[in-house]
Amino acid sequence: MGFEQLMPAVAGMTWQDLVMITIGLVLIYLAIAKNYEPTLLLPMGFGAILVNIPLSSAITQIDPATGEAVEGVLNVFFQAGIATEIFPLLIFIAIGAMIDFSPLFRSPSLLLFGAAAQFGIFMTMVLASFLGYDLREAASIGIIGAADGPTSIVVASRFAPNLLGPISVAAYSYMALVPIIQPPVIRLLTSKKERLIRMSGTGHANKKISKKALIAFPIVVTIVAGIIAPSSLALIGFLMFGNLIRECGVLNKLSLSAQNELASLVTILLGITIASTMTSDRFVRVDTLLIIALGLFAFVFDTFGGVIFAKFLNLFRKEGNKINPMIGACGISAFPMSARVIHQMGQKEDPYNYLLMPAISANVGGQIGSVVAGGIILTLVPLFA
Amino acid sequence: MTSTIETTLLIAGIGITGIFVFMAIFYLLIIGLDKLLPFEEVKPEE
Repeated sequence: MGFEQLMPAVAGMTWQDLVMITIGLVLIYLAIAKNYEPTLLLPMGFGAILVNIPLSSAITQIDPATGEAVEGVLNVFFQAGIATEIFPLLIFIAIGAMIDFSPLFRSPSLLLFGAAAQFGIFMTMVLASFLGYDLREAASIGIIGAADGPTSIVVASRFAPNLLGPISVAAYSYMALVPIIQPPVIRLLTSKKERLIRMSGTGHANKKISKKALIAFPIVVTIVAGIIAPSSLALIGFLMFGNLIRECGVLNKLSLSAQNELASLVTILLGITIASTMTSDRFVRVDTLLIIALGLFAFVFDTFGGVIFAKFLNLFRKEGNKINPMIGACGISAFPMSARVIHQMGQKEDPYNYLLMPAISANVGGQIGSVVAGGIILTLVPLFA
Repeated sequence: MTSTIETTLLIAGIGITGIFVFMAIFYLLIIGLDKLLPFEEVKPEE
């Protein structure tokens, strides 16, 4: 009996498999040692190891004796949970149950930053098409800029399932790297004087919000979004459904389950299932590096869009009522990380400047904005593709 | 310029405008809901 029969996995190992196993180890290291999005990066890292050991029974293999495909559990999960979009949509229920929209009721104008900071999505989409990607692939790469993992997964699984692995890794990695990516971009775009602006003029930090308004909000948003763009309803509707469970006041147990058990269970399955697309033949390609670079570009231009929009608005606002342009950067969906980063930057410039409340409002706006952006892309791309 | 790039530019234009329109609508909804359903202090029953 030869070595190949005795140790088929070792004999069949290629350098590409080793690269992927190393990537898996790096993701696990980043998750554990650096605490970078551990809920997703750890399952994805472990899954990357699982699927790149030759002949792994975790993924579908062809039985050499019969020539028939033996389905692997991760491929079954993929077909059931990602191809059907069930996993990311369940995550949306959980996220909806975690979001408190009351900061938006206190400073509704900051909602607009949730639109401005989606700029990177569309810039990246244009750049990706310049680089030769087709429309569906370019849209899937651009959506990394939503800074919203489940939205990226929904769009990529629908338009470019072949790119789902690198897009998910880029989306979740950059979300974890917001504290590293955003500050230098903001410093480059703003003056010290602008970073010192205090925001006492926007919103009412202590304003009490009616429970009825908070209950009506997810219902009205779902109806309005559904009427304008029905294709966005799965995304927005599930997010708002989760929020209604939270706000209605009679489903506290379900709300807690959605925020904890549902979020945890689906996150475990989502992470490890995405890893089923991280096989060496799909991942060890120049494309992957390009997508990861484009993801960084998307995050940088999201920040750019938000900051420049704030500076633009300041042209029309009176002295004493200006917006600190750093708040614009919070219009991305990475919540509450982006708000925390901006608050800390503000405190570094002036320890008595408290930007947390407006930053949170803009960041909540970003959570809505990213889902709306996903819905718009899901609506527009099929019309032109 | 290839047709794909032209199309992505068109989608980008419509997309950015679309997001601002959506968010402006949500902004008006929030203002409207806040006016229609203002916070009322619950008075303790005597």
